[in-house]
Amino acid sequence: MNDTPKPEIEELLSALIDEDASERQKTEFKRLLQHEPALADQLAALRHQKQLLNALPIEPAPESLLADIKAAMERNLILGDYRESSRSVMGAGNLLLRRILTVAAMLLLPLGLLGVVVFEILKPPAEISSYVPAKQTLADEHTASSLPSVPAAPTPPFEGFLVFKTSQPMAVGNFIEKKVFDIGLIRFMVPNRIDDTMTYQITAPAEKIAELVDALQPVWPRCEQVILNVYNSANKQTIEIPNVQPEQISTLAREDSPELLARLAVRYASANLKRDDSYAGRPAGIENQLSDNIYPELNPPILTGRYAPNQTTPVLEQPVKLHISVKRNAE
Amino acid sequence: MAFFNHYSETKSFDDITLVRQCQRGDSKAMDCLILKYQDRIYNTILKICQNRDDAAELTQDTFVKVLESIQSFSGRSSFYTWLFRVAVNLTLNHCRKRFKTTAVSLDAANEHFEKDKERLVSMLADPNGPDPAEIAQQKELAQIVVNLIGQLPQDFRVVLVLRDIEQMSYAHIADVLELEIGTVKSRLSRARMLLRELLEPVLT
Repeated sequence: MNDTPKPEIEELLSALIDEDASERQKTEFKRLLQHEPALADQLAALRHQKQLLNALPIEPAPESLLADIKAAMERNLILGDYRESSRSVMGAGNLLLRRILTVAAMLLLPLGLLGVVVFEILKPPAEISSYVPAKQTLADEHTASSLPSVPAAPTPPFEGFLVFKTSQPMAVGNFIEKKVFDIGLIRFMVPNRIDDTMTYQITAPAEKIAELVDALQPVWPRCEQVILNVYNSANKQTIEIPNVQPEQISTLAREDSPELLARLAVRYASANLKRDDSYAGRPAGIENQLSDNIYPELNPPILTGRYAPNQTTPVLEQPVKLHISVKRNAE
Repeated sequence: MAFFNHYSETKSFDDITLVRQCQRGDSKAMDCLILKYQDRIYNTILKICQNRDDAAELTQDTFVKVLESIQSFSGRSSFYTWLFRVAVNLTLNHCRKRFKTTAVSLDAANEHFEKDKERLVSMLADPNGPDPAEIAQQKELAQIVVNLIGQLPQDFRVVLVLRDIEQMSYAHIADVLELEIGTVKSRLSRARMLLRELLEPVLT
């Protein structure tokens, strides 16, 4: 016979020793007892066992328990364990956020580096820089041979280097700056100063350059020498125009054909050399006595319709460059 | 301190009154609750975890946890049930961790258990069987019985301790363990049978 009763019999015996059995269960037990008398012994053993467990002595809790509990609660209060436990939830949130940000950073960093590499590969080729150290550029500005041999692309139709040699460089420089500001070219201008030379590099539409040059007319009488070097993109040389006049600069600035510009510059240079009565160097105030037509009129075929006197000047979209230098006249 | 100088004095205060006083910050009421239940909690934990130091620490943790959150006690179940629920949960968690850390020493424990069993059998050699109360009152023998209880699977052990030692009702056990009463009865009957198998050489 198997001593181990079935689970349902186990529960029946358990209910009986707990006096929790229903009448139906008691009847069932009596019925089972007739077929299996050993169940009576099992019931007795379980009762014996329960009595044994019920009678197990109670061990007193440690005497220091009350004091220990109060000390622990006080310690928790002082150390802020309550707040710590509540903060731990927030800390877990922050930790999660930090982990997410870390993962994001780990993903984005290589992507960023990859993007830079791809950009470096795919970006259009950089413009050929005509960078020359500023000091060298300024020092050599008035000499044709040392002008930038490789101009920035695209080459502006007109790029001139206007040099004012004067014994009053500060007054002339201030006047130029004021006019640049008045005309609204200040944002197109890059000023610089090295030693006694002030330079202003202006990149603006030809009309604006012409307007500026016109406004600078009072500068001429205060200068002993005014020279314009015009860059000839055809042969990458410059054409020096001595004693250049404001109207000539305006005309050259408006010309958008490099060939015509070069021819016009050569013509002005030649004409100016023949004249020694330019009003540069004359006392201030007499400039208005000078006639506007003392310089040769250009033949219309040369201008090929791009510019003719008394006609509306076409507005060129492409900006032109004018470098103005104001130098102290050492002579 | 004369207010609760003796354990029996604390029994004169009903739990809900003491809890309300605790919630108002009455430290004497808190002491009363501790003194009222400390022995029962300690013994229950000790029977489950089988280690006095652990039982003392777990009893302390139980009261600290309950008293620190006494403001949240709404009275849906009795304080007694709540206290035992916290105690049993802490103890079971502790036992699970300890089981993981001491699994390698199970063989040694079994060897120790067999020695205890043989010792108990030899001490109770009377063929008519000893009186259970007498066995229980002998400290060494009682300890052997407790050790045998400790050999039961944890889920069965807890139910057996709460019913046959702490003498809780089925309903209370179900509340404490958050189980169905049927599950409690089933586990209890299984636990009793398993313990009987362990004690049979001694008690028959």
